[in-house]
Amino acid sequence: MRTKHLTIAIWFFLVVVMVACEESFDPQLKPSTQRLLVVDGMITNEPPPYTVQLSYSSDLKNPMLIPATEFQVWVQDDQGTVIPFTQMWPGTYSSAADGPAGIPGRTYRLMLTSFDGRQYVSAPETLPLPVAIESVDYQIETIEPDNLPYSLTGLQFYLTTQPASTDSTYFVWQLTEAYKYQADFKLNYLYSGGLQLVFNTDSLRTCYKSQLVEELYLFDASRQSVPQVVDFPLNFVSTETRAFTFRYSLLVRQFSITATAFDFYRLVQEQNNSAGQLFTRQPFQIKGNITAVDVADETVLGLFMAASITEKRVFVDRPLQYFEWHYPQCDVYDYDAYKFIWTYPPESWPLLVTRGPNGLALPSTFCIDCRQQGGTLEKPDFWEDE
Amino acid sequence: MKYLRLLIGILLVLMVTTAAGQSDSLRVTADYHNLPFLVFIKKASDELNVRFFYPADSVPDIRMKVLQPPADLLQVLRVNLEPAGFFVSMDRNGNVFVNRGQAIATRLPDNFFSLSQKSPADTERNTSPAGSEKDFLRTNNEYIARTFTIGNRKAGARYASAAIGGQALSFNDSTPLPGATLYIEELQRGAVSGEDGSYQLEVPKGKYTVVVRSIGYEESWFKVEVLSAGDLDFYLLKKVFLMETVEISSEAEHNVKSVQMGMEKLSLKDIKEIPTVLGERDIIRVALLLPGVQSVGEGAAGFNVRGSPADQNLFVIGGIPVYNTSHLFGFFSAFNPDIVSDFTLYKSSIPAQYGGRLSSIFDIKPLQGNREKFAARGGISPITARIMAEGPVIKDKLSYMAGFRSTYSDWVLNFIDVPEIKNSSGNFGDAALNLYYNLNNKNQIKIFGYYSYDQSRLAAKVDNSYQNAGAALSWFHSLSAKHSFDASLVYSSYTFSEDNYEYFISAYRDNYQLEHQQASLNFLYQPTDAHTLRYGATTILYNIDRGNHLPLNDASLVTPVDLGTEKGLESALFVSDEWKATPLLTLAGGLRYNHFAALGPSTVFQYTNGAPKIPENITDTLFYNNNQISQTYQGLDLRLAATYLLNENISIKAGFNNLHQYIFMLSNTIAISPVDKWQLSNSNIEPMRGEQYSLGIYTNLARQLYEFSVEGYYKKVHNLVEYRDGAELVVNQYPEQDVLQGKLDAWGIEVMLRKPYGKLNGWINYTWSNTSVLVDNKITGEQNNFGIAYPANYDKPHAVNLVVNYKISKRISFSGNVVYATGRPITYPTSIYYQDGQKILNYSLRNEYRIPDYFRTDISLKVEGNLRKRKWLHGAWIFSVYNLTGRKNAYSVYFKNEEGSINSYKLSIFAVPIFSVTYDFKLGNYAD
Repeated sequence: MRTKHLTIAIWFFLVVVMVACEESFDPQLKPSTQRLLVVDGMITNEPPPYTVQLSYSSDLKNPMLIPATEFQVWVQDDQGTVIPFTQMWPGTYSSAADGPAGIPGRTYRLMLTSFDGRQYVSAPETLPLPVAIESVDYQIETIEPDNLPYSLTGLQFYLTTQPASTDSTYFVWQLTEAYKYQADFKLNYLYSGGLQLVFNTDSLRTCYKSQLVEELYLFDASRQSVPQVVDFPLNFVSTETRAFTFRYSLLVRQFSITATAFDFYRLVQEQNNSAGQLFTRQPFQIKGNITAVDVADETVLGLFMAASITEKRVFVDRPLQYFEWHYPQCDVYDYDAYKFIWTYPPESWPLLVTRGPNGLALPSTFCIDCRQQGGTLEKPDFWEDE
Repeated sequence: MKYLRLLIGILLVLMVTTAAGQSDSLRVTADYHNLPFLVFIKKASDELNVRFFYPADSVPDIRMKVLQPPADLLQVLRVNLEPAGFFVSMDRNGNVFVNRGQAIATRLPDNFFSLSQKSPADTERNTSPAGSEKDFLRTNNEYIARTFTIGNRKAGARYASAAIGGQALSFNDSTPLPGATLYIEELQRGAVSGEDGSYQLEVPKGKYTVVVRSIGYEESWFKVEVLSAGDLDFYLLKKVFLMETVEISSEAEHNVKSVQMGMEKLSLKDIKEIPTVLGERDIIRVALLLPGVQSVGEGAAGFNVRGSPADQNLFVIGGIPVYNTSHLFGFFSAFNPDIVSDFTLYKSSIPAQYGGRLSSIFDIKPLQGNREKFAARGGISPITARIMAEGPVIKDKLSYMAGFRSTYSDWVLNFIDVPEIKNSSGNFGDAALNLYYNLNNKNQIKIFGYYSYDQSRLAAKVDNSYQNAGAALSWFHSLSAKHSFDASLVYSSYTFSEDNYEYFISAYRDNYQLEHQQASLNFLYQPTDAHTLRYGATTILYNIDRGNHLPLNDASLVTPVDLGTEKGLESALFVSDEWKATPLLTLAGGLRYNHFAALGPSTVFQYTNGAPKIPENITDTLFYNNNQISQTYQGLDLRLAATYLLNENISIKAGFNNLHQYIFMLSNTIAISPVDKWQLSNSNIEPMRGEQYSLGIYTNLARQLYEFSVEGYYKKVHNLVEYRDGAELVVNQYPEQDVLQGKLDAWGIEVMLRKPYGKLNGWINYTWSNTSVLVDNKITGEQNNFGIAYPANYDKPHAVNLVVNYKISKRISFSGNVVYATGRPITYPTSIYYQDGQKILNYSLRNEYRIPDYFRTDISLKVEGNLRKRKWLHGAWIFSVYNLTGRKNAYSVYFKNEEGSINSYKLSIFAVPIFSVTYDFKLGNYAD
């Protein structure tokens, strides 16, 4: 959901597109030495364990997660219940799997104390009631992206919830997509100084890939006559990419969050969307809900959220009528490379050899081993074939 | 051009003047030597009590030589100008005419009267025309004639009446005037001339006033004494159409002598010559070439004067304040250049009759309709078509000027190969009407109306529209030669609405309206030459409907929110005096008492003292009825200025003023957006106050061929209104919860070198400036940018503007400008962190970085149509190239999180040279 300034800005931007120009530019940032504590924690209505990730902000040029390991972490609710967290991994603090679960209506605070005595506390966050997802649907739509010379057909997903209670009107959705895909060529031989016949030619061919959609989806239904989300546009996935070779699955995790947390995400989204527009906004440091107890002006980034989660997974098969593909495919057999297969050093063995119409070929591993494209050969537990 | 017309603006006055001109006594001294023509005649008109008439568009670009001072003025003019093809003539009243090609006769040919008095045989009846010279007749039209004598007493002694005859002739070419009427006032009868212009009349002997009229010629009065039968021919002057006087204003020396500082005045001519973007001439873009005027970037609405935000400028056209000055989101300004006579930008010494804005007054004077004849002009650019028509309704009394401009197509959008834009559209237009009624010398009434609109649709998702509408009625009344007033009633409104149907369940409509109703009474009193006194009163009633946030249609689930209304009454009393204390020292002082009352109906929250104004700190809610005062503010503005002349060509000026502002614009975007709202001060938002000190040296160089000035300023603004970081803007019912008040400091030096006239004219200026904003409320602990001062978005420490106009020939002129400025400040992210799997940019210090420097060159060539005298339409083609070098000037540099990777980009608005052709036309020939 964009705000109105932004849409106008886009319009304007497009009007002047014939003369306007956007190009990559490196503005030579001063190296940042500032390390700010970042809190990324959540308590939910799902069964424990809950996780709080503590880290330090990192340089823009060299983004990394710098774990903050020197803390004691616990969450306290308005009835005095304390949920302790232990560091399971550097910077990752988890509550016990058999500890108390988050209860909608209760108010929680995150407390942090470092070994050298620094104390941090979150604002009290009241866990909203969960809102049921009624449906996640899709429509086949064709979009014309700015950065491509052709149009793309694909699936646009939409979400509808059931009417929410009036205190659960702020939503953030986290989308995880998963898909099944194939490498382009079969594996016929392995070469390790000599050819070895492979009987299961599809052994490296089919993979499953699961990944977070790095895009924020949020909506505020607090100003609506009915606090319900109807046909809210989620992501668009083109049927012309490898993701849609066979079957695609979308997991929608819906977080009903507090107004404080929503504001944080709203500002992040506005700041990102408004960048590069004519009516760009003044960017600023977005404050979360964590404060240092003793040092009034210490900035702490990030959020501790109390969120109710509902989720829904859908599976979609590739719609057969759309055959256009716009992704790199291996359609040329590299017979020449095979002729020089003896020149490859043993460190690169085994080499994957396929059989083309004109004999054996040594294509890029990418064309035979589907794992090269980020997936795994194991079928995930949630995966359902039709 | 209308100015040229005046050149022929000779009054009939001169019909009967004789050789005894006054020029004999006019001597120019060595001081006049080597002055540019305009400076020369300015000096002469000040010192020698003569008035000059000259063709404004072909001013001789020469220096006047006075080789043997003291010398006769007329002689000097002729010696200097005739070689350049100019003729000089002078009448007995001290009017000097300079024109090209043909001398203007200021008196009748020497043998004029002997020709006209076809005397009968008796030579004694002839009286010398010079003999009756003292007998001038002054009519209410100030036409002067002398007594003509027909016949002689001796011949007429035996008759009671006499037959007189003769011809009515054109003075210009001696052609007979058929159908001319001669009317003898005393006898209340007359005659009509025949085919050959001849007439016959039998009258009793005596003295008469004869009125002679003929279509297309000036009506003339002749004093005639009939002694006996005889002939008299009447010569009539062809009618000439006089426009505004081309008397030279004192502008040439304003630079040095006037007490005004930081004032820039540009006329239609200046505006016309500067290159355009997409063929649209734009006065706001011209203003950006002046020193101390900046904007946040190309295509941004409004401008920033001496470090102030855009809402501290007051734009007034024909007395109507305009609250949104842009078309198409800021790309073009909302003022049709064809209807503009001139504009004045006051940026430091704001006269006491103006107030209500801290930074500048941009006063646009619309054209006043031609009182003599119909005229029209217009033009077509790639974006708009425009037309302006003017003329008399009642000749010499009531005139009109009407101008329209509209986008005639949004074909520009079709060029863009983006499907989204193919569903988009945009159009805008504006109109103005100026009526001027000259009741008599003492009373004039003006009615001016202005309207502008904008509509746009983006990708079938968002519709925006906004309108300015206003009307002003003013009455000028002269109480005496020294005392006059101007009374006016003004209405202005600004409305906008936005329909957003991006996501159907939250499709909404927002609207907004501001109404400005004003009554003003301004007196001007000049008791002596040394004092110019102004005093008066103004009151403005603001009515703001902050609008409603409404569901757009039945499918929308948006809950309607009424954002409420605001009402305020701003009143002011002012008095100012400009006092020429000594010939070298001029002082100006003014006081402006202003008062603001926030009126009901309103709901006002009271917050805990010393605590942030947030919902948690509300202690009480007060309800006010309609027109009940909820809060008042008052202030006394002081205006001081002094000019001290070190010598004829150098002066030092100093000024101080302070001002109050009760209305401001809420905006959190870098550039003003079309949905930014004006807001009044109230119990919870204090009015802004500002002070400015300025000091400058003004000089005329090279015998006044160049004007050079250096002016420094220091400005302070208190209670500057800034948005709180992260404020929710779409639906903010209580603006005080979303704003913080801070302060602004600005200082700078402006250096300007200008060559105001000549074939080659233009200017170059350099501005060094600094603007710093601090939002740090020590009491409530609220701050923006960690309580650290930051440069304002439009802070550009170094700026250079070069404007050059060169008239290659009478038909071809070239102009160009070069603009350089330091890149504006910008906020970059300093670090990155992770939240729930997403990368988030952490921005830190505001405006810590700068975008790359800005540089642009524009050129244009104007080719006038042929110079034939007899034609009904004159056209001109203007070819311009904007951003000639195609430099990709950054509008902004930004970072985006795109599917998990952080990329940085530079956006340029006009990244290539833009060529455009505009066709301008007007009725009549080149000169008209």
